[in-house]
Amino acid sequence: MKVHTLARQMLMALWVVAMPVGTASADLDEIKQRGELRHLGIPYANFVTGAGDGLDVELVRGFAEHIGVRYELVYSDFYNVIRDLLGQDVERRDGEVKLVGQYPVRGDMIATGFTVLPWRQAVLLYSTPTFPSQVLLVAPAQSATQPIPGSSDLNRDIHQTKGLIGDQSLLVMERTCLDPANYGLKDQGINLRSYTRSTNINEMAPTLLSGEADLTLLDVPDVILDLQKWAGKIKVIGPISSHQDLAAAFPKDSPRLREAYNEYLEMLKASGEYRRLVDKYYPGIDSWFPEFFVSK
Amino acid sequence: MLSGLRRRIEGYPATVVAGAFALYALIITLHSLYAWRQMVEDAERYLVEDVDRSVIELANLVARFEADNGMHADIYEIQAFLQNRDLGMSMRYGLGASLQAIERRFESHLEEHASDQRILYYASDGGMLVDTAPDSPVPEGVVDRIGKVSAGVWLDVSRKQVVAIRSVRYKNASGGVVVSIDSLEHILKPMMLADAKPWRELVLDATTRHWLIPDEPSGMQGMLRAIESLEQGAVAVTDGVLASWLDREQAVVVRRGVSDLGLQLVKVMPAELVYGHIPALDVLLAAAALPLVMVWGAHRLDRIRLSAERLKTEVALSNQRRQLVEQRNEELSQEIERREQVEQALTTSEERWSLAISGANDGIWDWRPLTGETFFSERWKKLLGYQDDEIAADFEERDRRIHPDDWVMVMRRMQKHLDGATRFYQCEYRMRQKDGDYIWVLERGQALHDEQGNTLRVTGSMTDISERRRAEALLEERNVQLNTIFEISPDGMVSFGHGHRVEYVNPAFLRMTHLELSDVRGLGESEFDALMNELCADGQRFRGIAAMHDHPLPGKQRETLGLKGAGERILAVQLVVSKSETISRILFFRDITVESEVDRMKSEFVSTAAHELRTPLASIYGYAELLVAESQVESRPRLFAETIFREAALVASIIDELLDLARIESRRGADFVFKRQALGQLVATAVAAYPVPEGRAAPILKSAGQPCWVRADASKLRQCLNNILSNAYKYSPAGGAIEVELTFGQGDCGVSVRDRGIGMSSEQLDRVFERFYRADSAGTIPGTGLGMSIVKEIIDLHGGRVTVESRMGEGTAVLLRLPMIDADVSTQDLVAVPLLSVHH
Repeated sequence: MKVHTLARQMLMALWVVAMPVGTASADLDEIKQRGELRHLGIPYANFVTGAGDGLDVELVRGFAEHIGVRYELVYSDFYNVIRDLLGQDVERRDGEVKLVGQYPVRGDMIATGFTVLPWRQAVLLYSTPTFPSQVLLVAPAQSATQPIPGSSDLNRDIHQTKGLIGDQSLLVMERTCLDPANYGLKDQGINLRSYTRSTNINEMAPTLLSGEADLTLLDVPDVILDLQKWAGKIKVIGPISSHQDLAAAFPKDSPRLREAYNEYLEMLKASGEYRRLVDKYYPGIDSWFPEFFVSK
Repeated sequence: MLSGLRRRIEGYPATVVAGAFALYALIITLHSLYAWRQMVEDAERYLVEDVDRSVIELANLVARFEADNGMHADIYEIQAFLQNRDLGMSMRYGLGASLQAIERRFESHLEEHASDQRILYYASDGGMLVDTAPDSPVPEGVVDRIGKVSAGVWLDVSRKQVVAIRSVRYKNASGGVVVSIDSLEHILKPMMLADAKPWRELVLDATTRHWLIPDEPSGMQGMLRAIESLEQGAVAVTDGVLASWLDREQAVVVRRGVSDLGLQLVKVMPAELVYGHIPALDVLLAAAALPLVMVWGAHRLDRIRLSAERLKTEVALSNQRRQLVEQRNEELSQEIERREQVEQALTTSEERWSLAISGANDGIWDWRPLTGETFFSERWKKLLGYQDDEIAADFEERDRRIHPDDWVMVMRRMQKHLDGATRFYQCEYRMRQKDGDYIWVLERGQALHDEQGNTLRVTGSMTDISERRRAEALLEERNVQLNTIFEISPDGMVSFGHGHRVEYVNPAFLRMTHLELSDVRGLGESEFDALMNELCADGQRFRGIAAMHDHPLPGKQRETLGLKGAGERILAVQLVVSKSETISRILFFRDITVESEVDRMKSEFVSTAAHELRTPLASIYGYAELLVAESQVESRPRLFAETIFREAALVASIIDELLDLARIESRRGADFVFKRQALGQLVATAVAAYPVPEGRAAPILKSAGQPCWVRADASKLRQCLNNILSNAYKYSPAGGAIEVELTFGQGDCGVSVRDRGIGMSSEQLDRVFERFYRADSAGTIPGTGLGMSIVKEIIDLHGGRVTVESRMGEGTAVLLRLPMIDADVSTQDLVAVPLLSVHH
């Protein structure tokens, strides 16, 4: 596993180095003129598997084909993906979000199970949500912490779940959807253990099981897969967050590109292709967010 | 038997082949009939097996359905759900996703198999957890079985559905059940055929006899009854409603039960589909008949062919015969003519042969060693002095008559020929005749052998060669004689071969020339000429063979050659050209030295005689002439007459002695009258009768002491004594006694006459017997010089010897010796002469 992770990181570094430097982000026309759509993806769950497929990979590939350009997947990570899109890094301080620095633009859009977060929305344009999500608290199966029964009151469930953390260590991944700051877990005296070896959320569950923490935050897409992969070894305690949306992100100056993508998504949903892809990569997601897929 | 059969078969090849084929076909047909039966049985068995396979397949499909259901019960997602459930996760947070995963798994399976199957997952308490078709009613019995059966499958006849149930094992306890529901038609779809296929399969519920698959066709009343009438597992051929169902005249139906499901599978197939690949029996029978037809056809064909061939052969034969007849007529005519010629020739040949055999004196024999059969011709027997019936036809008859000394040689020669060492047999040997004598025969023959080398017969002839043998002996003897003569011939002979080289030289030549054989043999003619010239005396030359041949001496002249060396010789050479095949020329060399000397002596004698006669004749002529001349006769006529008388007497004496000597020489004593004479008496008589010259004493006769008989001519002997006494007196002119003495030697006796005269020198003594030689070289002592020559001739003719001993001035003694004869010689020849007194 570690070797695989290392290889993936090396591959991502290779891609980063190989990418032409200094190409500015472009809107639809420029992309069409250029004839290429660069998709920034981060190997994450089944959105971007790292094997060249994934829900977002197929969505964006289809979009590139839809707009008649060549598709190119550019690997990135959660720390640098915004910088790779905007050419500037994001700096969050005291609730403020600033773009700093000058960096090469490596992609035209982000589609990688990218959670729609307020601080991201400050610097990015999001597409129509492509997937629902939620952050959950996950514990090892043998953990004394028992799952909450769940209710129709999400907030209560969230509260109940947070209460079960106690003084247990909590594995988190900052600057991602598992950033504890997103969910009021930071600076709360919770024994946070930040996973910094990579930005691959897939590694949270095995890290938890290796005993590096008592609990972990995990998003629903990962939980769906991990509950299968680590069935009997991990258990969902309860929700940490309310429902979240995952969507594709575009630079603020690429509205037409976003608009085109949204149209494309509608088209897929109408044809059922979207559902097929969702079922392909995330079977059982309906049980988590039935309303999302019912309305979609 | 096999050869007879083969002969029979040889004329009917097509029949044989067709028969073999028919036999083969019959075997094949029988086999085919058997195979047909087998095929029918196999077809039915295959059909049954096929139905059984279908049954098995049906059962397998159901089992697979059940197994798939079991597989669904074992999916990981269910285990994950149960684990998550045990972990206390809520449906909202996690457990629902697990169920979703289960449902997704079921649906994936259904999508993958394009199945209308329905899969349900019940919790162990019967609560529905997952249902892929939640809007459809659940078959009866499902919920009832939850918790009661771990697995099973049953048929919902009413819905024509198959329901499979399987408990989920989770931690050695039930984790619920998975139920799969599918239509029987769908499950059996892989084995059920569409209507387009020529056969039909249908599934019935064995219990309710409910037509399950397909739907009961309309208008086929009684089909179910027809099916039920069928024996389970048997193959039934029906032409009723089931056949009509297939739109066929006949259908084959098999009914089999599917155990554990209460189903019946019925397969209805067109009869031609089951038995279509099997040839119709009548076709087989017809096919079986075909070889027989073929045999018949082939036989007919053979017969026709044979007939045609026979006809063709007969036609050809007829043509041949006709041609043959014509040819034979022609040949016959020629043959007749030839035979006549042959007969004539044969007759001639036989005559010639008979004559030849008769003339050749040949007998014919024929022997067959293997059988012993033998033939001897009549002539053969006659040669041995037998009649034809006196010798049996047995080769032993010949063997036992072979001379014992020749027997081994004859047997060896014959055997050698029989063994093949000689091409012909030939042998000369002696055969015993009937009279016991042996004749020489030449037996010839030749053997006839077979391929293995055995002697089949030996045929030959026997020729009496006794005469030839004798002739050969004579010839051999003659050759020996001739060789002897040649060897002992005093004449030299040198023969040249056709290479004109010396081939043969006889000893006489070598003696004459004092050459060695190696000096002469092989010399060419010119070389020989050169050699001879080397031998020639001075002034002599050998003309050479070529000159002698090309330029022979004229008339009766002879080639002579004087050889030098010890003993000069004169050779007369004669060249004879030979007509022989081996000899070209022969040189004859005759030693004519003596002859030449004789001639010389003759010449000398004639010259001397003429000279001696001339002298007295000269006196006679002279004095006669004087008498004629009258002037001289008157003075001394008596002197002249006495001289003439004396000289004439001398001439007469010379002539008489010459004549006497010539007569003696020519007649060689043939006119002598030899008688048994007492030598002493004869000598005494001759001495007593000798006219002693005047003034001389009579010879003194001395006695021998014993009688001596000789065979002599008394007159001739007296002549000898007279001549000797005459010489004794003439050559002792001074006088002296003349002694005559009888002597005895070894086997001879003689008489000696001794005088005390002038004697002779040794040179004179050597010539005492020469004609006309007188020791008186002065010529004062009268005589012809022939006396001693005559004495020697006479004594030589008497077989005696005469010797003369003399010394100059002392006298001469002449001794005559004659062989004594026995005293018992016939007295008729004796002349009794008293013993005379002897002066000692």
